[in-house]
Amino acid sequence: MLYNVLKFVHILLAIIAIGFTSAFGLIIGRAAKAGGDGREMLYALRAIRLMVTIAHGCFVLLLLTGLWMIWEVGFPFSFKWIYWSLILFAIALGTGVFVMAPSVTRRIEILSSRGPSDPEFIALSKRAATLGPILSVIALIIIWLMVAKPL
Amino acid sequence: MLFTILKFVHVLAAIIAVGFNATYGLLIGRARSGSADGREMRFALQTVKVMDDYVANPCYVLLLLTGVGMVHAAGYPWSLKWIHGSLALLIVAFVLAIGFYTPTLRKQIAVLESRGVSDPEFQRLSTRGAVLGGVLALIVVTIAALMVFKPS
Repeated sequence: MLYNVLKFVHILLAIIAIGFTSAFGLIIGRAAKAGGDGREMLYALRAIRLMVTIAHGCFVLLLLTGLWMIWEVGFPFSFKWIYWSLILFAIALGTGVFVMAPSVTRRIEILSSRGPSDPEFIALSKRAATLGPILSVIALIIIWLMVAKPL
Repeated sequence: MLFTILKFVHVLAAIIAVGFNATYGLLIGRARSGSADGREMRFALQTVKVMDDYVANPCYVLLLLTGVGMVHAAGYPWSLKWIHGSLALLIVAFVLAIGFYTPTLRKQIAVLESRGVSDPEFQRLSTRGAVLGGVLALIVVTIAALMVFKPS
């Protein structure tokens, strides 16, 4: 019963965390095509900053419930799907916390003070647009590992 | 192998569909603190409409197809509570989404564009959208619980 409860919470957390982060590209893409004064972009980045905070909280709980499930069932850490998903998860979370989240905050600051045509804003937006799909591929691989469970 | 591929697509579709749905309240909620001319709200509602029409709803269709495919591939009987219960709830959610939530969203955008963010009908439609969103979230969480706990 405890395992099922943990699994249910784990799945809900994955839905919020990965679902939220998957939406960023679409929201930013639409904001980039909106008004030239950057008002929609500012709104989008502020909404994304809030979503990033929620998603990162969910990612931490995802890790904790995942580790608890491993302990509960007694899966060894030598299983490929467990250690690879943990390594990939650490890379993704590290990139999210130390690169993507500060980038959102910095872009909000630049956009508020210097506008959307500022070179630093454009450079940060391009970097986020490159990192976003890489993080999505990592998320896809982790989901595959969770579903297929290669030993 | 076929079952594993179907399960992967099923899980992925669930994460995208439900995860996208979960952003709507937040996007619209934040737009409420936007400017009085409603530009942020218009952008938020139009973005939610695009996310719903082109990503979330197609993912729900994929969810249904892969779910039925898995039941067929694994040979589960339809008489299992978690299977017929979740299928029934998914159909209810789909009807609510297509028949009520999407038209509400469309009307909200139309009223906002013609009469502005402070119009009483816009406020009424916003409340309806929020209530429908809450009901849909409850249904989806119940489906997820049925998938995990699998009551027979």
